[in-house]
Amino acid sequence: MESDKIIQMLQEPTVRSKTTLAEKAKAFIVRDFKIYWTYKFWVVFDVIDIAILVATYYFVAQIITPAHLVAEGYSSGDYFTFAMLGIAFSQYVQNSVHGLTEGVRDEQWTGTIETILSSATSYRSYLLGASLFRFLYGTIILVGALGLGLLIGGKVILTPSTLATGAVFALLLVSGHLAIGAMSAGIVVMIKRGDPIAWGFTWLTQLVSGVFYPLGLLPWYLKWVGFALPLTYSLDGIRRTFMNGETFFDSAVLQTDLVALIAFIIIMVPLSLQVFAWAYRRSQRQGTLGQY
Amino acid sequence: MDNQLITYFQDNVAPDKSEVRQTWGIFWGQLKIFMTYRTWVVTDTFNTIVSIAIYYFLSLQVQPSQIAASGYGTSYLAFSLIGIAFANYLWFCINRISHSMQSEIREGTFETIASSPIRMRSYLFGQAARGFLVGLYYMVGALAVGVYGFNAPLHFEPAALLTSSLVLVFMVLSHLGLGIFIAGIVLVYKQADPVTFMVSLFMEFFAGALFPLQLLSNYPPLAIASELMPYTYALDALRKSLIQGATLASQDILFDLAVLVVYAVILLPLGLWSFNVGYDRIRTEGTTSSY
Repeated sequence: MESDKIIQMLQEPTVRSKTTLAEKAKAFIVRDFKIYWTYKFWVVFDVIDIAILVATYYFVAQIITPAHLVAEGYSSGDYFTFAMLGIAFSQYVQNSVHGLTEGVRDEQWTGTIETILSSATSYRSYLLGASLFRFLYGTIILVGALGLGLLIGGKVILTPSTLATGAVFALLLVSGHLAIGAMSAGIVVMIKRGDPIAWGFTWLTQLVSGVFYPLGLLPWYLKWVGFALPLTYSLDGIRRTFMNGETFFDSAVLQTDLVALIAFIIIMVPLSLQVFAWAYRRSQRQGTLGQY
Repeated sequence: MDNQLITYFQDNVAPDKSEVRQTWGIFWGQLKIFMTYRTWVVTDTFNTIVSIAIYYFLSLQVQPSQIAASGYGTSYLAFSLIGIAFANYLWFCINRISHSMQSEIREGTFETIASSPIRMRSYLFGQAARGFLVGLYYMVGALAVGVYGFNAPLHFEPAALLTSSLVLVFMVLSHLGLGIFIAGIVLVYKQADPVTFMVSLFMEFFAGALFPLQLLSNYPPLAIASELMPYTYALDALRKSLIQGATLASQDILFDLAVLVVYAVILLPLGLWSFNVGYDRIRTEGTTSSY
């Protein structure tokens, strides 16, 4: 009763203007771009980072035998292209997952997360907005990495059907990892520490998703761990598309990859939003949203 | 009036002028802080083990003859394990000083330290010592997991261990000046993580942490850059001692050690000098605590 009176006293009669989700998303992108632009050197370093990684595997490819790749169904047996696609797409999603958790962590450090989440912006809009710039930026770096790879010897089959198939896989890859990012961000909100979890995830995916080697080299128990991760199916699909020229219409393996990815997204997106919502409400109740 | 104030605030406790005790104090304090980050230690240990597993599976695809041609045995796992474990160790040592400096500035404690009777040299060496010790935990752990968990064929005989330990000391000394130099940049520009990050990237690439350097011979500018990196010589000596069992009696090892000594003699005073320039500059400008 007393609290109702207090709320009434503090209530402001100002009518809120309805901001659409698209406007909020745009505002988030502009905000994050402005912040990122103050660290111009990071852009240069990100480009050099992925360039050196691609160049490293260009040389590693020269000491690798193609037998395992051919046995796994990557008919060209070209290890450099295999590694280039693996590195470029795994970096793409890792940057995005890290970006989201780091973004939440930065908001905790600077004390702005409480302000944002106490405003009329819902946590769903916040998560979507906070992810967008990272994915846009990640896409630019991805295109740059692939461009460099092709320039120094990567060989991919580019036709309208392979490009369309690859784009579908990339979209599903992003959606699946948005879910992982949201769950990771929820954990950050709760435990006030993010990077260890995100880094653990990064290493795990690199081990079992076939970023640097075909899955056939893994023992059965690690293969099964890999089958639970979206990157495994996405990388397999993207590689078969661009290395073998397969498409959804003529490849049963790609159809299996597609179904697995869609199933992962259907299960994980609502689950990860629930995890974030639970962590967010728990922090709200405990009054620890602004703590770091 | 000013003199009266100074007298009023003056403390009569004589400051401890022993540099060894000051260094130890900084080292111990930093180690205590590190021990509070248990989650980090657990996840970093996990990541180290996983990274070795990744190189183990990668090594299954490598043609042994290609590694043999480089003169470092036939195991790619042993080759890459040494490349990565020691590069990470070096990264810990170089990054430690600048990273901690940045944290102190951000948390507002650097000005307090700078105003205290602690000598900056003791502060730097105390920070570095903490980096060496923590880095050693991960490096020894990585080598142990590689050898006992994945059967990487490394020589752990006393002579090889003694040789590699000596190389390790000179490897750190030859790069320490660089770490101190970057810390000087942090003092003035308040940002350095990108710089150390780039240094470690170039170091790993040009020293051939993951591939034999003979592959660079078709690209003269890359080969020259590789020869200019002190880590190239450290890695060559470490691989020769731990993979082939070479000792200090080997001329190749002595040559590598001599190069590392030259780098240490040039870079260490240069690093300390540039740090002092940066330190004096922020005190003159009054920006010790700004970030």
